[in-house]
Amino acid sequence: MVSKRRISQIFSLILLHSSWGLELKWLCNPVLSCHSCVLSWFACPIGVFVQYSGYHLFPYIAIGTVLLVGLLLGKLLCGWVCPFGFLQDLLYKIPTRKFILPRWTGNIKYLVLIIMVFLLPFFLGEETMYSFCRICPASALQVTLPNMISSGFQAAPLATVVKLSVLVVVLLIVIFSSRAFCKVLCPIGALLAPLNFLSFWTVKLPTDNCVPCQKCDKACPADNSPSKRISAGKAPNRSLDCVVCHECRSVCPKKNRKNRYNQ
Amino acid sequence: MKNKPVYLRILTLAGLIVALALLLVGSLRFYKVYETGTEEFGILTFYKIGEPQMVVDSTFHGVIRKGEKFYSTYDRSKPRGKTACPT
Repeated sequence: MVSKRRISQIFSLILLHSSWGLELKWLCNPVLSCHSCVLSWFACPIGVFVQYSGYHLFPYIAIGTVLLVGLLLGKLLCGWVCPFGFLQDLLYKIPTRKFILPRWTGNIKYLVLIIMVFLLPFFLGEETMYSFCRICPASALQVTLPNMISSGFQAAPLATVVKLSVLVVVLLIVIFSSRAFCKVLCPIGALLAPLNFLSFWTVKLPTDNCVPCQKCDKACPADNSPSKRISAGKAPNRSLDCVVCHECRSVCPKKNRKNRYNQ
Repeated sequence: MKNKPVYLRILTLAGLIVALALLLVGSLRFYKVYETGTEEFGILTFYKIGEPQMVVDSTFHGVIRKGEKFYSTYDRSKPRGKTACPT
């Protein structure tokens, strides 16, 4: 049976890329979906931050929107709405040997956010070759690849080759390691991660009688050991890497029926 | 389930106030964007655009920065239509 989360991801994929006329690009949607795609409704906060850093301006509306959404929902949109997260979830279903990336790799995304989204565009200008947009796999998939196809695969500049190579590497790695891009590189995830601790959205404990079966740990796409927090009586989503997918709740064999999500 | 500690609740509320303040300040901000190649008698013509329009322009390089000034990359007197980012 298709889960509610999967249905939400499918609808989000369609709805976020169905702007045939009207656009709301003054509004940033904190998911990895490139605003250069002509069908996208919203602006990508990372793209806006890169441009504003190059302009030497403070992105009031973009930061305000990300902060507001993050405080209300935490990383819920990563688990339920993000099209690139959905793609990673699907690719991880390919049956192969799987591995978990070392925990320290999770810190790389914070460096990516600071260096490639804010610092390099600030010092080198908004059109620098070293901004995150130039290697963004979502942009490569939504914009660069369709443009190449429509131009009949004419000779591609080095920047395009680099961008597509990053896409291929990311897509290969996420087959073997669940949500590897989210864990290691995603700058939006890095922005929203601390807000998981503050957000109003709470994944309620699946049970008050936790037995250490660790089914939630196996189901967690972020390999984030929710059992530790559940057995300590803490909400499973109070963690930097949680994508608030609620899988830990849905697989819990001791789930309290009366206890529903706090939505 | 344990509730959030008090300091986290205070941080959440403070964050919420900051987010709303940023949105409010942003909606009240305006920028001068000069037209390129329209200098007449040494006078540059400019448009005053709000922060929301600046965000929209930033999605397709609608504005570029030269020195301390911002310049428009398209004719703002005509309807723009859908524009994709050149990157």
